[in-house]
Amino acid sequence: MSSSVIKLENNSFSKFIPLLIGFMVFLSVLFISVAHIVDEIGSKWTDGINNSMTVQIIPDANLDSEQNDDIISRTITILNQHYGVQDVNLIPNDEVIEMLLPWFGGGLRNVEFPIPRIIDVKLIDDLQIDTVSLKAQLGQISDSIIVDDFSDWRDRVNSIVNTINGLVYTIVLLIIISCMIISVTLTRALMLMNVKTLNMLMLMGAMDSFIAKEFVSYALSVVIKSSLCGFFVALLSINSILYFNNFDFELHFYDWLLIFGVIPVVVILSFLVSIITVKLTLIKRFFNIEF
Amino acid sequence: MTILEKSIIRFHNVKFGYGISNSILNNVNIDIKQGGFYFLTGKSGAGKTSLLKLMYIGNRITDGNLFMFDKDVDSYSRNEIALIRQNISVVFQDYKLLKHLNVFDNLALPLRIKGDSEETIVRKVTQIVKWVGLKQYIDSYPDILSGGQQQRLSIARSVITNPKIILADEPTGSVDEVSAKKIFSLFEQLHKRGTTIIMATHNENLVKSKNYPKLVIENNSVFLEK
Ligand SMILES: Nc1ncnc2c1ncn2[C@@H]1O[C@H](COP(=O)(O)OP(=O)(O)OP(=O)(O)O)[C@@H](O)[C@H]1O
Ligand SMILES: [Mg+2]
Repeated sequence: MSSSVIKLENNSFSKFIPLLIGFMVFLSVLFISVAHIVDEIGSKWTDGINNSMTVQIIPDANLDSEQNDDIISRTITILNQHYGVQDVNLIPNDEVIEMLLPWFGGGLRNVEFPIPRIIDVKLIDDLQIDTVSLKAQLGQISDSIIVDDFSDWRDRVNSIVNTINGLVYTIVLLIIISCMIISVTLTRALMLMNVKTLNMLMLMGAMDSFIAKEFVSYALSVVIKSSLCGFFVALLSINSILYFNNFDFELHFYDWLLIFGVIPVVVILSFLVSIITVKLTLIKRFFNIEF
Repeated sequence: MTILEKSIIRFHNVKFGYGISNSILNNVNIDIKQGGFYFLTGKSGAGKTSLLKLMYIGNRITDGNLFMFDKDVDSYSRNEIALIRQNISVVFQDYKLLKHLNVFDNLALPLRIKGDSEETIVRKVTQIVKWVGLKQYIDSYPDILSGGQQQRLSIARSVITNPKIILADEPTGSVDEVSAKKIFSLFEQLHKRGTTIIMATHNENLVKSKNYPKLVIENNSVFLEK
């Protein structure tokens, strides 16, 4: 890959550039992984509630228990008939009390209190249920029926996840732009360090494409090597962070493949800006061979 | 028309200067014949190096017309100019070898630019190092060679592509008498093979001892002395 004609002088600048590119790639890999992990946490939070909703019926004190039971059974009937509903399950009173205990303290068992009845509704996967019509139908039975499809909760989680993702990808975009600027700087530095060689190439009648190939391939070899280093250091760091913090999820091979995508993006863009840099320099220098 | 009458480089009312106000050469009208051997003389700072630079199209002329290989240089595309440069070689007083490349790679560079195969390159390099007597140095770097050896290497580099024109800017200026004689004889051999040679030199004795035409730069203009 590396050219036989071009040379990167061994000075602090030449050591700094690959380090910088490696660090940039390291950062973007880190950020993309963070976005990925946040996504995963978000879907873990919403997974449990995605295909379910609850219907709460608060017993009406003005009605006797038979009438209240009637409301419950009519509600169950409507739920069972509704499109998209898979399973309807009236949670026994005892269990509801269990669930409420932490909020109300131990006295609840002895107190005469209108315990709300809770119906757990399982929905068919991936079917969008028409909650508006369902709420209207149930409203006709009683005003005290509350349908909770967790959409508020889901919306909030989604908006947090989206905000974090937006931030992360903006940062990654900025990092990639910085990588481009570094690639331009690297290419220009290569041409300056090798100005004698450059003049000699032009004097000997090298076409622009030949010269571009020499410089661009050298710049690219630096970019590729340093970004691979950055990637592997990031891979190591993330895995050890996940490992030592006992997170119960991991990035799979496929996720790493996606994250690895940063490198081709950086390399291809560097390739383009490097070629443009060489061509622009050659336009200025082609008729100005200075020894 | 015999070969020596065909012009290969022709200056027509050429002006040249670095920058706008500065003028190095004025109203240059000269005609370089194909296959000729020319000395180029003039005081230090007269503009010899500058004139040679115009001949390898390393700078553009400020005014007038420069014809190379029968066409106005302005009418050539960039790639055509690159091809013209491939047919012109330059030998410098300070050799201008690439220090990070060994003898082989220095010699191979112009061939790589021309797109020769590695096999051809090896064959041509092997042949040329023998001609300039540097066979045993093929893997060495230029730094370890003596001045005369470096100049022979740079001449080898300039002839390896078999160019139509060789421009030499005081090629014997930095070497001793013996090396200078050797080097000059290389140029004469190339001239006999039909290469057009223009050699800038301060060496009056050399110019007098040979019967070649002389381009003289004086007061910003160039004239030919037979
Ligand atoms: N790159 C440049 N920019 C500006 N001026 C230059 C440049 N190169 C040469 N000159 C000027 O042009 C004039 C001619 O210089 P040139 O090098 O062509 O002379 P020369 O005849 O080769 O001299 P010498 O015998 O010392 O090599 C000088 O006055 C020099 O200062
Ligand atoms: Mg000079």
